[in-house]
Amino acid sequence: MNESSIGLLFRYLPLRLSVAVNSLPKDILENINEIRLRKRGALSVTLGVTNLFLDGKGNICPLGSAITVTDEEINECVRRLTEGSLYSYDEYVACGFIPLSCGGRAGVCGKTNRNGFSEIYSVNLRLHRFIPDVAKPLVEELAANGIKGTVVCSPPAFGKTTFLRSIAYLLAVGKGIEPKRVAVADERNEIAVGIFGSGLLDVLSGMPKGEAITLLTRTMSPEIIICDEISANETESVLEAQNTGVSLIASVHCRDINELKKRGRMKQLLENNVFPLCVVLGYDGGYTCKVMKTEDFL
Amino acid sequence: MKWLGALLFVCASYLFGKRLSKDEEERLLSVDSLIRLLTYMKRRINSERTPLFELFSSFRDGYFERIGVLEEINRNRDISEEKWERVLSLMSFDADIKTELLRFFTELGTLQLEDQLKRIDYIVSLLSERQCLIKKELPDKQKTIKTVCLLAGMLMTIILL
Repeated sequence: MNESSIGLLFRYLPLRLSVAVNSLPKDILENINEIRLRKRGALSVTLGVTNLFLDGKGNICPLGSAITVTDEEINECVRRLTEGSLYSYDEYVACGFIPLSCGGRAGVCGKTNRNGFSEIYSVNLRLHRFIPDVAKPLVEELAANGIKGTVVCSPPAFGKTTFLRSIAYLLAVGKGIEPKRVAVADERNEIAVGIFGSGLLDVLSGMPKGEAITLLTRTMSPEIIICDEISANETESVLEAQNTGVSLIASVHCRDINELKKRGRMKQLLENNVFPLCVVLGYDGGYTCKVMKTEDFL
Repeated sequence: MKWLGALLFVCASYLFGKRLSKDEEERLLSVDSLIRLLTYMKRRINSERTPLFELFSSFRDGYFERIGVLEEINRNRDISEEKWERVLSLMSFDADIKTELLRFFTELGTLQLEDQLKRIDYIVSLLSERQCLIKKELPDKQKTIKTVCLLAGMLMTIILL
């Protein structure tokens, strides 16, 4: 992440808000993960697991003194995100996000009707980091012991998607390992941002993960499929892929391994040896990454 | 010399009437072109979800090009109310319909697909009604304007003589 990628997000912010964010000290600016706008609520930025509020001059302040985002500013932000043509983004908005022209996406929420959102109340501009070496410990493990299915777990905002992006890149270009045919099931246009066209990487975006895993397995004969945030809905597709010999690297939201084991469907996948490896991401003053064998804790 | 002046005055009155009747024609051309633009928009939005400015830049219409509407729309990607006010001021519409059109253009692009298409349909139906009315009234109105101007010119000439 660098300042220029934050700069790309400024084009989506109304002037008053972009001036405030841009006034932050450089070291904070460079580490922002999210910029959040809430209608008639506070403007905030997220750094790792910390939420910061800004006053009109871009100083960090308590919640009570933070800039209040006006209705017009939220509308302007949405207009900028959709190039003044909300109808063009109907299908995405109905799924709760707007893809950004610079890559990445903005999460949205608000009032819904049967067609999707009738009004947008909040916008979360997410910055997508590409840190190539963050998944190096896993690559070393895979290079030493062969390709294996891996589950990456952590609470939200601990860098699961960044880790998946990194592992997709390292495996596809063959950094520290022989290049592999990697297919990314990128339902929400997040994982492949910044790594399109790298090595042996194929990307299927915008399709529900379960369907994408099945399609990729049948049509692209990948060695590894990578996807974000698998849930109970994808269990069948994951097991089907496993039976064809494709390894899956996927992430799940969970606090720790005990929580992971308690989930019925996830336990089923672990017991079926879909994920012989587990990567736990954490935060201990800095981001941590621990690679484990699942048999050790089952 | 006096009679020549009188003749010129009557001719000027007639030409003034003709010019005024031309304004009525402009109203019809504005309605025609706007209906064409909206129909084109609806088709492109419905089938391809084309973003607005891509859509505007690919639209061609002789009348809108002549009066500078397309140039004003495509000048920049500003979508403020002021811009649409400027665009509408180039067209000949009555105040009531102008208010409705301003509301439509200000909302344009902020609605989801279904609502956007419904709004376009509504404006097209409004304009179509106006188009029928203008078409029906136009020949009589033009004749009346020209006649009144000519008679007024003649009357003034007689008074001046």
